[in-house]
Amino acid sequence: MKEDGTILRIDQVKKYYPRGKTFLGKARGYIRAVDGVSISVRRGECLGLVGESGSGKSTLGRVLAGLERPTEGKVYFEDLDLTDIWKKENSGVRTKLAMIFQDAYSSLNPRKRIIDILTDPMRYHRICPEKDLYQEALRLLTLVGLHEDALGRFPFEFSGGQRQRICIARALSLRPELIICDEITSALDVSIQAQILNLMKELKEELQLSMIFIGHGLGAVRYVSDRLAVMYLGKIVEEAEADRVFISPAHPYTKALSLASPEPDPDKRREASLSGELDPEIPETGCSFRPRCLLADESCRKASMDLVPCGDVPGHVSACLKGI
Amino acid sequence: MRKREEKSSSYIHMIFQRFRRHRMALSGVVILVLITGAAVFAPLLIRYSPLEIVGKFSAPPDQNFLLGTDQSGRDVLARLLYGTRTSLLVGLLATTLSTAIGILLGLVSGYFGGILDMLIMRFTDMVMSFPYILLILVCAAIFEPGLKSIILILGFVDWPGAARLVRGNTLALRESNFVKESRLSGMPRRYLLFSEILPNTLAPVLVYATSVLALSILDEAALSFLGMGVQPPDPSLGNMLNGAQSLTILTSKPWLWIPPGLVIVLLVTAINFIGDALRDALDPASGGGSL
Amino acid sequence: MGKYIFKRLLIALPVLIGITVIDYLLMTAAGNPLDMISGARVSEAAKAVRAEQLGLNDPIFLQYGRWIWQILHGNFGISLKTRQPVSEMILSHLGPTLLLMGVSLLISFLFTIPFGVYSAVHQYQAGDYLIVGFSFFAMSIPGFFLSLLLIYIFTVRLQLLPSGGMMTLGGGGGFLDLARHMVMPVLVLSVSMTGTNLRYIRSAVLEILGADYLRTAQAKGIGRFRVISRHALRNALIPVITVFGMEIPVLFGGSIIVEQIFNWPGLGLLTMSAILSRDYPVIMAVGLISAVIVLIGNLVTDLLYALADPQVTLT
Repeated sequence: MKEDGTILRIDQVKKYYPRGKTFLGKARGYIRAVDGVSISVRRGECLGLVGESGSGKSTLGRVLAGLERPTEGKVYFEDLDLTDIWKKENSGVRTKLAMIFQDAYSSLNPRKRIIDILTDPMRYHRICPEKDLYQEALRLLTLVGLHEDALGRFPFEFSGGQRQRICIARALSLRPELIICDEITSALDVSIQAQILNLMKELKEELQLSMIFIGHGLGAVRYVSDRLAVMYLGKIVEEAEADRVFISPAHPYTKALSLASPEPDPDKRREASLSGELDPEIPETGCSFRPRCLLADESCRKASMDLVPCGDVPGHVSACLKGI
Repeated sequence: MRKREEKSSSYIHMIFQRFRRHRMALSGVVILVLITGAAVFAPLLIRYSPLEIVGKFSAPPDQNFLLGTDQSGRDVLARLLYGTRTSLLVGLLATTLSTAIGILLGLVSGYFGGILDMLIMRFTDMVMSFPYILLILVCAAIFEPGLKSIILILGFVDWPGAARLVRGNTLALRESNFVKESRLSGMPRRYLLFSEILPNTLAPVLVYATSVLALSILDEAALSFLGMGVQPPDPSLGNMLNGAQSLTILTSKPWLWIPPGLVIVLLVTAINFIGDALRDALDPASGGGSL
Repeated sequence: MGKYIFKRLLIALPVLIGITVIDYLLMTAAGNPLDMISGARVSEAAKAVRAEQLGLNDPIFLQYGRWIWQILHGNFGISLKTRQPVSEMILSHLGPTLLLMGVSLLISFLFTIPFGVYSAVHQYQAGDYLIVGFSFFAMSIPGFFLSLLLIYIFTVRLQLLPSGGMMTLGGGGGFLDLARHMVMPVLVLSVSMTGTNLRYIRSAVLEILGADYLRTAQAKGIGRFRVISRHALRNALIPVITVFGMEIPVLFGGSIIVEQIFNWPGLGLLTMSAILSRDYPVIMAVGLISAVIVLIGNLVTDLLYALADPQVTLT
């Protein structure tokens, strides 16, 4: 796997949550948060994961980080099965993988100064000699655009954007190879969002990071991503080069998402093509997007949701048989 | 117009509340400092030893003995100050012990969950099912009564509340992002438990500990009153009241039993005031006493 | 509902078993029953025979099993002190204690519910301060000190009430006599619960008064009194149930000291004299019985919850 530069590979991953319990604790049914996803991330690449809330993208992110065990399927980080990452002998590998969360407020221990938040993990993993820890923390802080005086302060003294920068610095502190960003801009003001997006893009290029960037706005995710995967109800419905997905989406859902992203020019404003809300009651057979799709007809009732190549662009796959 | 009225009245309310809170907590602190100070500096404040026989038996208060003397001719004031010392010591140590046990069990229970959690919580239920005083009395009957055993007994009986509190907090904190991040970056368990989770549950635990402190002081007093706690001749606030079980002392020598009783009431009230103010400061939503 | 009760019982069962184990272990830690039964003068050989008879050489779990078996048949052993069956002693002392506890519980609730609600409704007014202040006092005064004060005032100074016992010796007895004997112990026990109750009910009602649905009701023009009596009180029932559950163990503990001081011939007095004379079979039985009563109290609380709050059944 390493030869082709793949850093993370997942194979038919499913994550089901039991819904409602019978008296003996058996599940009455399941929410299929992630329902058979296969995807890989190459070294130095940023993969964007897009979808509405409830599409399973954040669950997938947690599974990818090893925070949750997949119900089925395997996740490989480099050559290591991710479920093994919690074993003692693999603790070194864990530093190669970092995660940044949406809620920067609960991501920093409120009782700790920034300096400790940054240096504690570095000290434990012996990233650098004790005497250089301060310099290293300072370097990280500068990297994310904060000043030295931040080091002595507590998290509550910072704004949301600044906190997210600290979280990024923390994620970088162990020199990871892959960072999973779970909607890291969603809770921020629009202007701050752009700053953080720019920062991530810079960092990725400067540090040669591999990233998984999860978000619900197609535009924002596209900005930092090399490749995009669109999720709907636990399944990937389209995957391609980031620009390709944006410019010529093949799946009606992707199209709807791209239309939903803000367009500053009122003359160019387009009709929304998405009706209804995401409903976890997935149709048992056929295309799960069918109930909301404007193009749906009888044939969609029996359609499989396998990804098939569309057009002549290599690497562009879609789950829609209409193949627009 | 109406709106402005409402605003100003709620503002007055706020000031009122703040004043009330501060006044209560402040008076609590003053009382506590006075009593603790008198107890700690007792040797400097008082000429007599609490154990020495210095006067007539059961003499009423006079200039020499401000609170009179007890049945053996010892100075009641000296015994009161030294007894307060003992009671404070027992309360503090027992509270420290029980809180430490509670924190440890709560952390383990909340963090690891599963069978361990179930076992610890069921055990907590069991300990809580025994009437508290009865459990203490039984323990006191088993072990040799005395200062050390009363501290240990109170300490080992009083932990369930703290354990439940810490467990609840730990359950919530375990799911917080910063703990997840630490876990992801391969930090060891002891770091997660003691450096990430514990500091964030300490404040509510400390508030809870104030009520445990108040209870421990009350329990020590009750036990010593019943003759199963601190043993004479060493004075404690509780065993000074022990003599009042006899009707003659109760009837004709009130200086022997009213002062230690009042000190207990004052001490415990002060601690409860402080605890209440701390609770409000910590959780503005509780008790409607938002600041 | 049936399922819920069943589930609760299922949880209570291991706790009950655990309680018996703790009880048994505590007593085994307390000392060898042989030394308790026999004096110092019994020879070692006789002791060994007796130990064999009593099965003291068997493994501890076997001994525990035998003990439980006896208890399930209502046999709590023989008192070391009075040589009476423990079960008889307990039965004869249970009545006065339940009477004392029941009346105290009733009086405490009769007092705390209206005052707690009043305090919450009139938050930060003079009455509220008075009630909150009283609750602090009630929480902070040791029961035994209050008892002594009451005896000092009502018996010694005013000579109004008897200092102890349940009935006047040789007197005609009757309800009035009993009531006169009960005033002070009931007062002390009630006060011991009052502090917590008042504060709990007050803050619970405050929380309910701040709830959105009440604002809605008020906005609809329903009068303040009706809002409180019809809407708030029904929901305040739940905290009252909670308090009820919390008070049962407190009552048991309190009654030990109160009965001791007022010489009330109940379970507490029996316990205290058993503890002082190290009468372990009696202590064991009282510990077990009170723990079981507390457990039943908790169960009842849970059931009342389920009745008062429809949401509970679902969880």
